[in-house]
Amino acid sequence: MLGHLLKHEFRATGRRMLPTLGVLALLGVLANLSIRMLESGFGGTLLRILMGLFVAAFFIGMTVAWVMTLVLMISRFYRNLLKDEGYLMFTLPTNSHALIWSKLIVSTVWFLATALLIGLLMMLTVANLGQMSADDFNAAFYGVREVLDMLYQLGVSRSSLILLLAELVVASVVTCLTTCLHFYAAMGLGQMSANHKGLMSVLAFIGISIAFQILASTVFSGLVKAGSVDLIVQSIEDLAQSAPGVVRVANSSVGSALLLEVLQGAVLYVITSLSLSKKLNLA
Amino acid sequence: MSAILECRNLSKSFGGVKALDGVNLSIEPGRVVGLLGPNGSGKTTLIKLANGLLTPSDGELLIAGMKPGADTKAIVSYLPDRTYLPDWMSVRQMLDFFEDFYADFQREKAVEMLGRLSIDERMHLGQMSKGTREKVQLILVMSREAGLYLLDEPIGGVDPATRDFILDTIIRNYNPSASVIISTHLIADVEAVLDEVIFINGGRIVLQKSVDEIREAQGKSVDAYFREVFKC
Repeated sequence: MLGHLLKHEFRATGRRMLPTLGVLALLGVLANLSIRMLESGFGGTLLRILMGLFVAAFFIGMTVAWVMTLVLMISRFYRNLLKDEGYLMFTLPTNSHALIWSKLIVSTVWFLATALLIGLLMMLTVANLGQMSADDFNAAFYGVREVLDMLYQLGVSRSSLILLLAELVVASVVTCLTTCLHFYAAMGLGQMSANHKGLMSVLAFIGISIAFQILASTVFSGLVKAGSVDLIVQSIEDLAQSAPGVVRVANSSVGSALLLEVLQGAVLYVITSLSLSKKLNLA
Repeated sequence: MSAILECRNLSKSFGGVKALDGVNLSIEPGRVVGLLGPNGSGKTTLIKLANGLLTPSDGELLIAGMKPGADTKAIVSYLPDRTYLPDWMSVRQMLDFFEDFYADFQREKAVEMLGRLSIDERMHLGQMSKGTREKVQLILVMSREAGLYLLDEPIGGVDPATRDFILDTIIRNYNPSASVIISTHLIADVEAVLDEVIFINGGRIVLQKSVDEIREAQGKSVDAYFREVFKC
C-alpha cells in the first residue's frame, strides 16, 4: 500500500514541483549565460539590464522554490489528510503509519531535489562553463584527490572519512524528516480542536519548539553542573591535536547531533501518529 | 449467519456531549437498511465509527467480527456526506486510484456507468457541477464488490432526477450478498428500496425492524410512522 500511496503522492506534488524546478533550472542557465556575457562586456545597456534581471530572477527563484517546497509539504498534509480529502485517505485499506510515511518520504525527496538543484545551479553560476575545458575538470578532480592523499598521509583513515560523509548524508535526510514531522505533529494536535484548527496548529508548532528548547537547556545545564561539559571540551581539545583526532571529533559531533535529531523526530512521529490514529477529528 | 456490522453498548462523546449512547445493534448480510433519524441524531457519528474515522468512547463496533482497521476498510465501501475527491484529479485518475487501493473495485462497471451518464473520463472533478461530482463519487463507491456499503446522506441536496439515478444505481449495483446502510432523513424517497429500518434519536436506537413488520403492525408507511415517532 505504501508504494501506491507514494505513487499518488508524487503525482499530486509533481504537478507543482516539476514545473517549479524546471523554471528554476531555466533561470539558472539564463543567469549563468548572463553573468558570462556581462563579464565579457557583451551587449548594449538594455541587454545588460535584461541580463541583470535574469540573475536577480534566479536568486528570487531559489527562494520561491524553497518556499514552494515548504508550503506544499504543509498544504498536502493539511488538505489531503485533515480536510474533506481525509474522508478518502483515512478509509483506504491502510493504516495511519503508511499515510504519514508517504507524506514524509515525498516531502523529503522534494526538499533534497530542490537543495541538489540549487547546489548544482550555484556551481554552474560560479563556474565559467563556457570556457572550461576537460583539463579544468581534471584539475578539479585531482585537487580533491590531493587533499584526500594529504589527509591519508596525516594518518586519517579512509573509513573515518567515509563514515563522516555517510553521517552528513544521513543527517541531511533526517533533518528533512524531522522538519516535516514538526509541522505534522503541530497539525495533528491542532486538528483535535473543534474550532480554530489552523490557529491551534500554529500554537502547537510554537509550543513544541519551546518544549524542545526547554528540554535542551535543561539537559545542557545538567551536564554543566555535573562537570561533563568540561570533560567533553577537554577531550575535544586533546583529540584535535592531530588530523585523525579532528576527523574523530567531527565524526562524534555529527553522530551526536544525528542521534538527537532522530530522538526528536521519534517523539514528533509518535505525536503525529497518535493524533491521527486515536484522536482524528475531521471537520 | 454472522453480522456484517455489530455494535455492543457503543458510545461516543465529544467533550461532555454524548453523540451516541449505549448503542446495541446487529445487521445481517444481504440487507438494505435505512438508518433514519432527524438531524444531529447520531447517524453520521455511527457511520464514522464504522469507518474508523472516530474511535469509540465506550463499547465496541465490529465489522464482520473485526474492529475497524485496514482489514475492515478493504470490505467497506463508504460514501461520505460531502464532496471528498480532490479537485485536481481527472475521473480517469480517480479510477486508477480506486483500482490501486481496492482489490474489489470493478473498473469496467464504473466505466459503463460513467458512459451511461456521458461523463468524460478526461474531465477534472474541479470542472464538474456539484451534482455530477456526487454522481461520480457514487459510481466509484458502488463499483466495488464490497461486503458493506455505508452511504451517508446519498440523496441529500440533489434534484429529484439525480435522486432517482442515485437510488437506481445503489439498487442495481450493490453486491447482493452485501449489506447497504443508507443514512438519511428523506425517508419517502428511500422507503421503496429498504428491507429494514433503524430509527435513531439523541444517540440512542429507538427501533430496528423490517419494513414489512412496520407496515403490518402499524398499518402505515415507514415515512408516516417516522413522522409519528419523531413528532415535534
